[in-house]
Formats: sequence, structure tokens, C-alpha cells
Amino acid sequence: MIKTIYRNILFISLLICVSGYVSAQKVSFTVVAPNVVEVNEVFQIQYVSNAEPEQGFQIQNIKGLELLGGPQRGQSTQISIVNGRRSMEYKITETYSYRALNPGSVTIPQAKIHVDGRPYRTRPKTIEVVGSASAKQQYSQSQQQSSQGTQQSANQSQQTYDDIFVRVNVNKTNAYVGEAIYVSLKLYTKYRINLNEHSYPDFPGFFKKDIEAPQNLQYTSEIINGKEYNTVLFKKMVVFPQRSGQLKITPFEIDCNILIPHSRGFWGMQYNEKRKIVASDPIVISGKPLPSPKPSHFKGAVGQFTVSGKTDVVEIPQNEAFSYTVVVRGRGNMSLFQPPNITFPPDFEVYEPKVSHSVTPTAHGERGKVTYKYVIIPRHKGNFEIPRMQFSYFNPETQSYELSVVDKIPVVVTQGTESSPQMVSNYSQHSKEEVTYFGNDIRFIKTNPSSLKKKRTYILSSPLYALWYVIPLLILISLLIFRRKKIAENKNIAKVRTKKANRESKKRLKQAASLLREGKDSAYYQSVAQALLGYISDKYTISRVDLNKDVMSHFLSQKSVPEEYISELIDVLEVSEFGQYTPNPSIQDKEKLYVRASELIRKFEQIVK
Amino acid sequence: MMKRLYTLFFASILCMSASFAQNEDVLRAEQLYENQLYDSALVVYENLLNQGYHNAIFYYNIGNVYYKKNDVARAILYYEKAFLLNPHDSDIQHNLNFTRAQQVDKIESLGHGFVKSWYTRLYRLFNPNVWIVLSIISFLVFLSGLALFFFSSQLLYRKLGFFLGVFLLLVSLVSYISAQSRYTELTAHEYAIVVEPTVSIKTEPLETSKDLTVIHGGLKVKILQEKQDWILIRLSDGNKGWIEKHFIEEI
Repeated sequence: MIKTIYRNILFISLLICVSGYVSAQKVSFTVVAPNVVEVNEVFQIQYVSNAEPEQGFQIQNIKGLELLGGPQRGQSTQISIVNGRRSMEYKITETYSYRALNPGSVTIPQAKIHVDGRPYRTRPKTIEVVGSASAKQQYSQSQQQSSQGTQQSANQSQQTYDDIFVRVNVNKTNAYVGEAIYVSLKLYTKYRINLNEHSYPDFPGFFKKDIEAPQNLQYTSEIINGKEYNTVLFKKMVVFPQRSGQLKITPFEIDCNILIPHSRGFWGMQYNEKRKIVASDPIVISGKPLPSPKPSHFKGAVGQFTVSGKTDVVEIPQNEAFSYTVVVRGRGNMSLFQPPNITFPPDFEVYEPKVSHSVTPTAHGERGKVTYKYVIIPRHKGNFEIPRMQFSYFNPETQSYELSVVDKIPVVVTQGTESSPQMVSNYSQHSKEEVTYFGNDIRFIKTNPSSLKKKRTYILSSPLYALWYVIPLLILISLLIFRRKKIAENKNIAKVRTKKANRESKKRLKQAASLLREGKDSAYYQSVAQALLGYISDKYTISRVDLNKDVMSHFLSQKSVPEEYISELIDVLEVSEFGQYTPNPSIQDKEKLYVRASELIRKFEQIVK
Repeated sequence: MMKRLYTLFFASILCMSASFAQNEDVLRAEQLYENQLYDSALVVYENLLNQGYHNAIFYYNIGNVYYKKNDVARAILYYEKAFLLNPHDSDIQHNLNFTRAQQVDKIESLGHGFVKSWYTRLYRLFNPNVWIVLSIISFLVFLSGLALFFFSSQLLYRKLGFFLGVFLLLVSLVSYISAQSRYTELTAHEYAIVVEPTVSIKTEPLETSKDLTVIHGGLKVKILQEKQDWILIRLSDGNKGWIEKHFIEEI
């Protein structure tokens, strides 16, 4: 009953036939529908055309929605004069009422019209249907209790006017920090009311974005606990908890006058007014902290995202600017996270990124994209790459951190147009060397080399060069050893001879003595001389062949033998020589010689010990 | 016998004509350079290098070509090569200093002590072959002195042999060390020049590791160690880091 009263006629048609104008205009055909609805919410979908279709609107059924009413057709023409130019807008509309059945998303299929034989289609549009836990429950309850409820309410409502209340509907009461929560503010009433004031709830600890805040409040109908209510939607919004813990949403309050019909007068129904203030129950949302450990690249993004990046050039001269654009697409707390970390090559001069948001709020958070545009000036030529960039976000649906990656992008920096490579820049910690010119330019090439040398071979490259040292050294050493041995050998012989010398000479003298007795004078003298010479030869290791008196006297004086010994020796030798050729020498002479010789040997023995 | 003689004769003629061809190449490269056809000149010079003509003059000229082609890093590389072979040429010194001044990195050099720079100047006086021959000759004379000392009975000769021997042993030792130093310098390729315009030095031989610093083309670095595609280098300020192999070229 109330429904029929309040089903207001939305469209007043001014019937001015201006078909000539219409055909001259560009034909448009659109569909108007809310972005987000709740389960059980009654809402309208309107198809609008600005030209008269030939066969009416061809509209398909929408799956997932229950058609409640329609089509309501309407026509309107608006004439406006701006700066002396008259423009006219002509509209034909068809409006349908639907109710959403299940949470999820619903696509409105393309509708079609024909104008002047040409088809025009609407774009397909998606509506998000949000389930609110409480709403579902109530709907199922309403099915069971429908028969009882209506009777009870009829009695009660007359007295206490309780069938009016406000609600803050949320689609979840447990949410991660940064996770989107859908909120709608609604008034439910069975009565006709006049609104005085309303105060929206506060959301301390939340970041909030309005999805829809209707300018003109519209009544729709909804069944709660088996009773049909007229509902007014005040606001739809999406909120994001900013911290963990219990977050309280303050009540939503409405001050209104209930109109109570009491009599039917000439001008229609007469009403009494009764003021009533209604407030919603406070709602507590528990914010869960994001799980630890957080990935190193995590910058606070919660939702579902993909990231892409590109440079506007692949090759650029040094000291010229280019841009690197990172786009984060998806839905979630798009306005709240920080730009991703990118480690640019140190030789790139990078400026703060220009950030632009292009997002629309939806029940699942903000949907759209955030663009970061970095302006980069490479200061040196070379092959560089902007390294792999990782964008990490928390996905509340899988309750885990996920990663979207932009692969590395190569950038070739070519030699700049400036001829001097000494671009002084002060961005890096390496200060550049100031260039002092030694001359104006390099010196000219060396012409006509006199000799063409092949690669030199080095003596040191083979270890054989060491032989030049080793072999002569070995030769010298072996010579030394040989000489040493020889000396040692000689020494040995000399020693033996020296030792023997005395004994040998005595033996010879003895032999001489026996010769003397036998009267062999010549042999006797010879034997004495031999004994002396042999003694000297052995004692001083001189070869006997070399031994003559001159050599011997010279040699012995060198050996510092006293002069009188030498002359005595010479004398004895001369006497024995003479004796060999003297006939019949006296016996005294012979004996004297013998004594002198043995005396001499004894003396020599004393000095050469 | 005759056949062998003929082949010898033709072989020598071939050799001579080949060397004439090289002389022509040199002249051609010079002409190309004078006509500012640097790319072609470079091709001719590189061809000569590939044939094994290892000459400071060629390196110097190639350095000039690269400088004219605006590639300062490679110009420095070839001037360094020329300087290594002939450290006393004033043109090479001039062009090397001139191009080094255009290198952008300013790195505090640790510098060398007085003794080391004096020693460097000493061993660069001759090529290692001269040094080693000098060393061998003085060693032989030292041995003769030693022999004189051992075998002579004359005191004067023995004294002479001893002091001559000690002196020449010292000469031989110094020459030998110089020969080794110069030989190592010429053949060990201990230094390299960065040839890419801009290069990151990493803390580890991994592409993902942190950047230590950024250096630029033409910088001289010391090679310390090699590991697959990475080389551990030391900058003149003593800092060490890893660099990808293809970013540098050995002197």
C-alpha cells in the first residue's frame, strides 16, 4: 500500500515533438545502474536513449537479479539556451526494478536499439553485489516468519511506533589493517516520515571513501524479519582500518517526525506528527594486524594488484631526460600505500616520481590504477638496466603476501651531442676530476716505423737461461774440488816422505858406513851424497831431478833455513863429490865426512820438526 | 741438393715480399689516418697486430685512432700498451697523460715510495733480454774472479780477483732481478683498463650482489684474481671489488 503511494513518478514528460533535431544529434544509448548493491536491496536499472528507437528497447534478462517491476517508460525534453544558442536534449527512458539475490557480481548484458536502421548497444556493466552477514540471516528468517510477523506488527506499531530504525551495515567485522570493508547507512521505516536531521557516524581509525551518497533520498522496499519496510539509503562507502585492535564506529542517528494519519479531509489525508530520534547500534570492528614477517618490498598495499613498468625510450643520449612509468592496477587500498622501491643505476639522476591516482571506490576497495612517473637523466654512456622491481602486497582473500614483478628493462645510453665528455655533476659521491689540458690535442701518429719487429721472444720465457749460470759455476766448482784433492794428495805424500826422511837417510848412512869399512871409497862418498840429497828432497818435497845445489840453496833460504846450515850442506855435498874422484882419501877424512853428514841431518831434524 | 737450395731461395723471397707487404700496410694505414678514415685505419693496424707485429708504435697509432673515434677508454688502453713496451718515448707519455686527464674518476692514489719509483725507473732502462745477458756476462766474470782468487799464488791477483768478483756478483744479481721485474711487467698482464663507459664494481662475483662503487671507462685497475666471468680488481686507492670480465681489457 505504502509502496504504491511512494512509488513516485520520476519522470515528467514534456511532449514536444522535435524529431528533426533528434535525428541530427548523435545517438547515445546508455545504461544507468549503481556500482554496488547489497543482497536483498531493491534498486533500479535505467536505460536511456536520446532518440526514438524503431522497435523499442531490446533488453535481455539479467542473471542473478530478480525482476520486480518495470518497465516504466518515460520521455523528457530539456531545452537550454546558453550564450544565445539553443540546445535541446531529448530522452527516452525505461526503468526496471530489481532485487539482488546472491553476493558476487552481476553483469548487465548489452541492450540494443535501432535508430534509422542502425543498431546501437549499451556497454556491458558490472554490478557488485555485497553480502552483509546480517542481511542474509534476516532474509532467511523472513521467509519462515512471514505469516506471523505481519499480524504482530500490525498491532504493535499503532502504539509505540517501533517499526522505524537505522542501521550501519558492514560486510565484515573482522578485517586486516588496510582491508576494504563495505559500509552502508540505511533507514528502515513502516511509517511515513519527515526527516529533520541526521548525523553520520564517525569512523575513528579508518580511512573512508564514499561510494555513493544520493542527493535525493529515495525509498525502496526491503523485507526484514518478514516485514516489508521502506528503506532509505543514506550512504554507501568503503572503509579501511588503519590500525589493529577494536575499532568502534559511532551510532548513526536520525531525528524525524512520524506522520500519523488520523482523518481524511478535503485535501486528502490529515496527519499528526510525532518526533522520534533513532540511533543505530554501535559496531565494533576488530582490525587484525598483517601477518609477520612482512616481505622486504611490502609498502602497505592490501588487496589484489598487478604492477607494470616501462620506459618511454630504449636508447637515449647521455644527459637527456627520459621517463620510467610504473603502474599499479587492481583494487584495494590504492590511496594508502607507498611507491615501490626501485634501485636505479647509480649513474642515473632520478627525480621524485609524479604520482597520479585514477581510482573509483567500490565495495572491495578502490579500483583503478596508480601511476608513478620517474624522470631520469643518465649522466654517462653505457648499457644500463633498470633492475627487476618487486611489488609486494597482502591479499586478504588468500591471507598471504603475493608478489607482482616488473622485469628488468635495458636502457642504452649513447654518447651525447656535446663533444666534451667532462659533464660535471654533483650528485654522486665521486667528485669528478677537473680537467687540466696538457696541450691542445694528442700528438700525431708515428709514421714510417724504421723496423717492423715481430713479437720479441724473451730469454727469460724458457728456464734454460739458468744453464748459463749453472754450467760455469759447476765447472768452477769441479775445478776447485779437483785442485783440493790434488793438494790433499800431495800433502799426504809429502807427509810420508817427511816422516820417512830421517829414517831413510839413516839407512843410507848405515849403508855408507858398511861401504867405508869394506874400503869402497867411491861408493861410500856417493852414498853419503845420496843420503843428504834424499833427505832434503823428502823433507821439503822437492823432486830429486830438479835438485842441484843452486836450486837447493835458493829454496832452503826461502824456507828460512839458517845460512850456516845451507853452506855446511853445500860443503858436505861438495866434499862427497870431490871424494868420489879423489884416489885414496885418508880414513880420517872419510870418517869426518860421515860425522858431518849425520850431524847435519840431526840439525835439520831439529829445525824442521 | 739443388732442389733444397731452390726452396730455400723461394722461401726467402716470399719472406721479403711479405715484409714489403707489411710496409705497404703501414703506409696505407698512415694515409687512411691522415684522410680521417679512422675505422679503416684501425682495421689495417689490427690486422698487423694479429700478424704478430708487436710494436709500441702501432699501439700508439691505434691509441690515436681510438681517440679520434671518441673512444677515450680504448685510447688509454693502447697508449698504456705502447708505454709498457717503450716507457721512454715522449710522444707516448704525452698522449697517455693527455687522455688520462680526460678520464672522469678521481681516485686517491696510494702512491709509491721513493725506492720503488727509483727501482721502476732502473728496470725500465732495458728490455729483459739485455738485462739477462748483462747478468750472465757479469756472472761469468765473477766466476773468473773467483777462479783467480783460488788458483793464483800471487797476493795481488788474489785480491783483485776477490773484489772484482764481489762487485760483479752484485751487478749480476741486480741485473737478474731487473730482468725478472721487467719481464713480469711485460708479460704478466697485471693491469687492465676499463673499456665500458660505466661499470659497477660488486662486492661479490654475483650479478645480484651490492654495488661497491661505479667507475668509468679508461680507469686503470690491477688484476688480482679471476673466477669464471668475474675478475677481482684493485683500484689505485686500494679498494678491491669484482668486475665482469668483458668490461675490462688487459694492458
